[in-house]
Amino acid sequence: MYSLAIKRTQLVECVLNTVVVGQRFQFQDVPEISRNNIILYGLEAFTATQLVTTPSARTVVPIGTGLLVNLQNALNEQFVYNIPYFSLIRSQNGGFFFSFADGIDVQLTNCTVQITNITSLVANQSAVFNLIYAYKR
Amino acid sequence: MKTRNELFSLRWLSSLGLGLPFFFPLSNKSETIAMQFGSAMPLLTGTRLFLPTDREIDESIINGIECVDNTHMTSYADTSSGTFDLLTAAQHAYGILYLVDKKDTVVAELPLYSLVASVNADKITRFNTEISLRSCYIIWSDVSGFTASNGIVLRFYYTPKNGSSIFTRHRTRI
Repeated sequence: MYSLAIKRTQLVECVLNTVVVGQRFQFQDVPEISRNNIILYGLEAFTATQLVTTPSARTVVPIGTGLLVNLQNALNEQFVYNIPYFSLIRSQNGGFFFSFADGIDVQLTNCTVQITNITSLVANQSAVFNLIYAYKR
Repeated sequence: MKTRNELFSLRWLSSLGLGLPFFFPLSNKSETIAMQFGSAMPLLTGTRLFLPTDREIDESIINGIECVDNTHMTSYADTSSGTFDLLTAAQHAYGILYLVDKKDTVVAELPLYSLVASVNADKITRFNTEISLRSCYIIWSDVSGFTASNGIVLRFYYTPKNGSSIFTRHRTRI
Protein backbone atom coordinates (compact mmCIF):
# COMPACT_ATOMS: atom_id res chain seq x y z
CA MET A 1 0.00 0.00 0.00
CA TYR A 2 1.16 3.41 -0.91
CA SER A 3 0.39 6.78 0.63
CA LEU A 4 0.49 10.13 -1.09
CA ALA A 5 2.47 12.91 0.52
CA ILE A 6 0.83 16.26 -0.07
CA LYS A 7 2.89 19.07 -1.53
CA ARG A 8 0.08 21.42 -2.44
CA THR A 9 -3.68 21.19 -2.51
CA GLN A 10 -6.47 23.34 -3.85
CA LEU A 11 -10.20 23.08 -3.22
CA VAL A 12 -12.15 23.25 -6.47
CA GLU A 13 -15.90 23.49 -6.80
CA CYS A 14 -18.33 22.32 -9.40
CA VAL A 15 -21.66 24.09 -8.96
CA LEU A 16 -24.75 22.08 -9.89
CA ASN A 17 -26.82 24.92 -11.31
CA THR A 18 -29.79 22.75 -12.20
CA VAL A 19 -30.61 19.29 -10.96
CA VAL A 20 -31.45 17.20 -14.00
CA VAL A 21 -30.36 13.64 -14.74
CA GLY A 22 -27.71 13.61 -17.46
CA GLN A 23 -26.70 17.24 -16.96
CA ARG A 24 -22.97 17.93 -16.92
CA PHE A 25 -21.30 20.75 -15.04
CA GLN A 26 -17.79 22.12 -15.50
CA PHE A 27 -15.32 22.58 -12.69
CA GLN A 28 -14.86 26.20 -11.73
CA ASP A 29 -11.68 27.78 -13.03
CA VAL A 30 -8.82 28.48 -10.64
CA PRO A 31 -6.33 30.62 -12.60
CA GLU A 32 -3.30 29.69 -10.49
CA ILE A 33 -3.53 26.05 -11.53
CA SER A 34 -5.16 26.38 -14.94
CA ARG A 35 -2.17 27.34 -17.08
CA ASN A 36 -1.16 23.79 -17.80
CA ASN A 37 1.38 24.32 -15.02
CA ILE A 38 0.59 21.51 -12.58
CA ILE A 39 0.78 17.78 -12.30
CA LEU A 40 -2.26 16.34 -10.57
CA TYR A 41 -1.32 13.23 -8.64
CA GLY A 42 -4.23 12.84 -6.26
CA LEU A 43 -7.80 13.80 -5.73
CA GLU A 44 -10.38 13.77 -2.98
CA ALA A 45 -14.10 14.53 -3.10
CA PHE A 46 -16.42 15.65 -0.33
CA THR A 47 -20.04 15.43 0.65
CA ALA A 48 -21.66 17.48 3.42
CA THR A 49 -20.59 14.83 5.93
CA GLN A 50 -16.94 15.77 5.38
CA LEU A 51 -17.35 19.46 4.50
CA VAL A 52 -20.56 21.31 5.23
CA THR A 53 -19.87 24.54 3.38
CA THR A 54 -17.38 25.51 0.67
CA PRO A 55 -15.03 28.49 1.03
CA SER A 56 -17.40 30.39 -1.26
CA ALA A 57 -20.25 29.62 1.17
CA ARG A 58 -22.10 27.11 -0.99
CA THR A 59 -23.69 24.01 0.48
CA VAL A 60 -21.86 20.80 -0.40
CA VAL A 61 -23.81 17.95 -1.99
CA PRO A 62 -25.30 15.71 0.71
CA ILE A 63 -24.57 12.40 -1.01
CA GLY A 64 -22.23 11.33 -3.77
CA THR A 65 -23.98 8.27 -5.14
CA GLY A 66 -25.79 10.13 -7.92
CA LEU A 67 -22.76 11.78 -9.48
CA LEU A 68 -20.07 10.82 -11.98
CA VAL A 69 -16.76 12.58 -12.56
CA ASN A 70 -14.74 13.06 -15.76
CA LEU A 71 -11.22 14.45 -15.86
CA GLN A 72 -9.64 15.74 -19.07
CA ASN A 73 -6.54 17.61 -20.14
CA ALA A 74 -6.24 20.71 -22.34
CA LEU A 75 -6.45 18.54 -25.48
CA ASN A 76 -9.70 16.98 -24.27
CA GLU A 77 -7.95 13.66 -23.71
CA GLN A 78 -9.89 11.76 -21.10
CA PHE A 79 -7.90 10.50 -18.14
CA VAL A 80 -10.74 9.48 -15.89
CA TYR A 81 -14.07 8.60 -17.46
CA ASN A 82 -17.23 8.42 -15.39
CA ILE A 83 -15.79 7.47 -12.05
CA PRO A 84 -18.42 7.45 -9.29
CA TYR A 85 -18.10 10.54 -7.08
CA PHE A 86 -18.42 8.24 -4.07
CA SER A 87 -15.19 6.47 -5.05
CA LEU A 88 -13.29 9.72 -4.58
CA ILE A 89 -14.44 10.29 -1.01
CA ARG A 90 -11.46 9.43 1.16
CA SER A 91 -13.28 8.64 4.38
CA GLN A 92 -15.60 6.22 2.54
CA ASN A 93 -12.74 4.39 0.85
CA GLY A 94 -10.40 3.19 3.55
CA GLY A 95 -8.72 6.54 4.04
CA PHE A 96 -7.06 6.37 0.63
CA PHE A 97 -6.70 9.33 -1.68
CA PHE A 98 -7.58 8.55 -5.27
CA SER A 99 -4.19 8.76 -6.93
CA PHE A 100 -2.67 8.66 -10.41
CA ALA A 101 0.26 6.51 -11.40
CA ASP A 102 2.31 9.21 -13.09
CA GLY A 103 0.33 12.36 -12.51
CA ILE A 104 -1.86 13.99 -15.15
CA ASP A 105 -1.98 17.38 -16.87
CA VAL A 106 -5.50 18.29 -15.93
CA GLN A 107 -7.41 21.20 -17.46
CA LEU A 108 -9.96 22.21 -14.86
CA THR A 109 -12.54 23.72 -17.16
CA ASN A 110 -12.58 20.55 -19.26
CA CYS A 111 -13.43 18.43 -16.22
CA THR A 112 -17.05 17.73 -15.45
CA VAL A 113 -19.48 16.27 -12.96
CA GLN A 114 -22.55 14.52 -14.31
CA ILE A 115 -25.79 13.87 -12.47
CA THR A 116 -27.14 10.32 -12.67
CA ASN A 117 -29.63 10.47 -9.80
CA ILE A 118 -31.20 13.59 -8.31
CA THR A 119 -32.08 12.13 -4.91
CA SER A 120 -31.21 14.65 -2.17
CA LEU A 121 -29.58 17.04 -4.64
CA VAL A 122 -30.70 20.67 -4.76
CA ALA A 123 -29.81 23.30 -7.34
CA ASN A 124 -26.73 25.40 -6.62
CA GLN A 125 -25.14 22.87 -4.30
CA SER A 126 -21.46 22.23 -4.97
CA ALA A 127 -19.51 19.10 -5.68
CA VAL A 128 -16.15 19.82 -4.06
CA PHE A 129 -12.76 18.35 -4.80
CA ASN A 130 -9.39 18.78 -3.19
CA LEU A 131 -6.78 18.53 -5.93
CA ILE A 132 -3.40 17.28 -4.75
CA TYR A 133 -0.79 18.65 -7.12
CA ALA A 134 2.75 19.81 -7.67
CA TYR A 135 3.92 22.56 -9.98
CA LYS A 136 5.76 21.34 -13.05
CA ARG A 137 9.51 21.72 -12.80
CA MET B 1 6.42 -9.19 -8.17
CA LYS B 2 5.63 -5.62 -9.07
CA THR B 3 4.53 -4.69 -12.57
CA ARG B 4 6.56 -2.22 -14.56
CA ASN B 5 3.86 0.40 -14.05
CA GLU B 6 3.92 -0.04 -10.29
CA LEU B 7 7.67 0.28 -10.20
CA PHE B 8 7.61 3.37 -12.36
CA SER B 9 4.93 4.96 -10.23
CA LEU B 10 6.78 4.29 -7.01
CA ARG B 11 9.93 5.74 -8.51
CA TRP B 12 8.14 8.78 -9.91
CA LEU B 13 6.31 9.61 -6.71
CA SER B 14 9.31 8.88 -4.55
CA SER B 15 11.65 10.92 -6.71
CA LEU B 16 9.45 13.93 -6.08
CA GLY B 17 9.04 13.09 -2.41
CA LEU B 18 5.32 12.75 -2.96
CA GLY B 19 4.67 9.24 -1.79
CA LEU B 20 5.70 6.60 0.69
CA PRO B 21 4.63 3.07 1.54
CA PHE B 22 2.11 3.09 4.37
CA PHE B 23 4.38 1.09 6.62
CA PHE B 24 7.00 3.84 6.51
CA PRO B 25 7.12 5.82 9.74
CA LEU B 26 6.03 9.42 9.44
CA SER B 27 8.95 11.10 11.16
CA ASN B 28 11.06 11.12 14.29
CA LYS B 29 9.59 14.26 15.70
CA SER B 30 6.06 15.44 16.32
CA GLU B 31 4.34 18.26 18.09
CA THR B 32 0.86 18.82 19.46
CA ILE B 33 -0.70 22.18 18.71
CA ALA B 34 -3.66 22.70 21.04
CA MET B 35 -5.95 25.70 20.97
CA GLN B 36 -8.87 26.28 23.28
CA PHE B 37 -11.74 28.39 22.05
CA GLY B 38 -12.70 31.26 24.32
CA SER B 39 -11.74 34.81 25.11
CA ALA B 40 -8.16 34.37 23.92
CA MET B 41 -9.38 32.85 20.68
CA PRO B 42 -12.88 34.12 19.95
CA LEU B 43 -14.76 32.00 17.48
CA LEU B 44 -16.45 33.79 14.65
CA THR B 45 -17.78 32.32 11.45
CA GLY B 46 -15.52 33.19 8.54
CA THR B 47 -12.75 34.64 10.70
CA ARG B 48 -9.19 33.43 10.39
CA LEU B 49 -8.07 31.55 13.47
CA PHE B 50 -4.29 31.67 13.31
CA LEU B 51 -2.11 28.89 14.64
CA PRO B 52 0.58 29.68 17.23
CA THR B 53 4.25 30.16 16.45
CA ASP B 54 6.60 27.19 16.50
CA ARG B 55 10.09 27.88 15.21
CA GLU B 56 11.09 24.25 14.97
CA ILE B 57 8.14 23.38 12.75
CA ASP B 58 8.89 26.44 10.62
CA GLU B 59 12.41 25.12 10.02
CA SER B 60 11.23 21.62 9.15
CA ILE B 61 9.64 19.54 6.44
CA ILE B 62 6.08 18.64 7.40
CA ASN B 63 5.59 14.88 7.03
CA GLY B 64 2.09 14.51 8.41
CA ILE B 65 -0.82 16.32 10.01
CA GLU B 66 -3.54 14.80 12.13
CA CYS B 67 -6.59 16.39 13.66
CA VAL B 68 -7.51 14.66 16.90
CA ASP B 69 -11.20 14.20 17.63
CA ASN B 70 -13.00 13.16 20.79
CA THR B 71 -12.93 9.46 19.97
CA HIS B 72 -9.14 9.46 20.35
CA MET B 73 -9.03 11.87 23.28
CA THR B 74 -11.94 13.25 25.29
CA SER B 75 -10.21 16.19 26.89
CA TYR B 76 -6.88 17.93 26.55
CA ALA B 77 -4.90 19.71 29.23
CA ASP B 78 -1.57 21.47 29.47
CA THR B 79 -0.29 24.56 31.22
CA SER B 80 -0.37 26.83 28.18
CA SER B 81 -3.56 25.68 26.49
CA GLY B 82 -5.64 24.93 29.59
CA THR B 83 -8.20 22.14 29.81
CA PHE B 84 -10.83 21.71 27.17
CA ASP B 85 -13.04 19.14 25.44
CA LEU B 86 -12.23 18.02 21.93
CA LEU B 87 -14.66 18.31 19.04
CA THR B 88 -16.48 15.42 17.43
CA ALA B 89 -15.43 14.36 13.94
CA ALA B 90 -18.71 15.74 12.57
CA GLN B 91 -17.95 19.18 14.04
CA HIS B 92 -14.67 19.24 12.13
CA ALA B 93 -16.70 19.23 8.91
CA TYR B 94 -17.28 22.96 9.47
CA GLY B 95 -13.60 23.88 9.32
CA ILE B 96 -10.88 24.24 6.71
CA LEU B 97 -7.19 24.44 7.56
CA TYR B 98 -5.11 26.67 5.30
CA LEU B 99 -1.40 25.91 5.20
CA VAL B 100 0.71 28.94 4.35
CA ASP B 101 4.40 29.01 3.45
CA LYS B 102 7.03 31.60 4.29
CA LYS B 103 6.13 33.62 1.20
CA ASP B 104 2.60 33.98 2.55
CA THR B 105 1.27 31.73 -0.20
CA VAL B 106 -1.49 29.30 0.65
CA VAL B 107 -0.03 25.93 -0.30
CA ALA B 108 -2.86 23.70 0.88
CA GLU B 109 -6.54 23.95 1.70
CA LEU B 110 -7.53 21.07 3.92
CA PRO B 111 -11.01 20.33 5.19
CA LEU B 112 -10.40 19.34 8.81
CA TYR B 113 -12.56 16.22 8.57
CA SER B 114 -10.07 14.85 6.07
CA LEU B 115 -7.32 15.16 8.69
CA VAL B 116 -9.25 13.28 11.38
CA ALA B 117 -7.64 9.85 11.46
CA SER B 118 -10.51 8.12 13.25
CA VAL B 119 -12.85 8.65 10.29
CA ASN B 120 -10.21 7.96 7.63
CA ALA B 121 -9.38 4.37 8.54
CA ASP B 122 -6.81 5.66 11.07
CA LYS B 123 -4.60 6.93 8.27
CA ILE B 124 -2.70 10.07 9.06
CA THR B 125 -2.51 12.47 6.14
CA ARG B 126 1.06 12.64 4.82
CA PHE B 127 2.80 15.73 3.55
CA ASN B 128 6.09 16.81 2.11
CA THR B 129 5.91 20.54 2.37
CA GLU B 130 7.20 23.52 4.30
CA ILE B 131 5.03 25.99 6.13
CA SER B 132 5.14 28.99 8.40
CA LEU B 133 2.96 27.78 11.27
CA ARG B 134 1.98 31.20 12.60
CA SER B 135 0.70 32.13 9.12
CA CYS B 136 -1.51 29.05 8.92
CA TYR B 137 -5.11 29.45 9.90
CA ILE B 138 -8.47 27.75 10.26
CA ILE B 139 -11.75 29.18 9.00
CA TRP B 140 -15.02 27.82 10.40
CA SER B 141 -18.20 28.07 8.37
CA ASP B 142 -20.42 27.62 11.46
CA VAL B 143 -19.50 27.82 15.13
CA SER B 144 -22.95 27.63 16.66
CA GLY B 145 -22.29 24.19 18.12
CA PHE B 146 -19.02 25.15 19.81
CA THR B 147 -18.49 26.49 23.30
CA ALA B 148 -15.61 28.12 25.16
CA SER B 149 -14.88 24.76 26.78
CA ASN B 150 -14.13 23.24 23.35
CA GLY B 151 -10.87 23.36 21.48
CA ILE B 152 -8.93 21.83 18.67
CA VAL B 153 -5.84 19.62 18.73
CA LEU B 154 -3.58 19.26 15.70
CA ARG B 155 -0.63 16.88 15.56
CA PHE B 156 2.26 17.90 13.31
CA TYR B 157 4.81 15.26 12.29
CA TYR B 158 7.98 16.81 10.95
CA THR B 159 11.63 16.40 10.09
CA PRO B 160 14.02 19.26 10.87
CA LYS B 161 15.74 20.44 7.70
CA ASN B 162 19.12 20.23 9.38
CA GLY B 163 18.45 16.59 10.27
CA SER B 164 18.25 13.56 8.03
CA SER B 165 15.07 13.35 6.02
CA ILE B 166 13.08 10.17 5.73
CA PHE B 167 12.23 11.21 2.17
CA THR B 168 15.86 11.68 1.22
CA ARG B 169 16.84 8.30 2.57
CA HIS B 170 13.89 6.65 0.84
CA ARG B 171 14.64 8.31 -2.46
CA THR B 172 18.20 7.08 -2.62
CA ARG B 173 17.17 3.47 -2.15
CA ILE B 174 14.75 3.20 -5.06
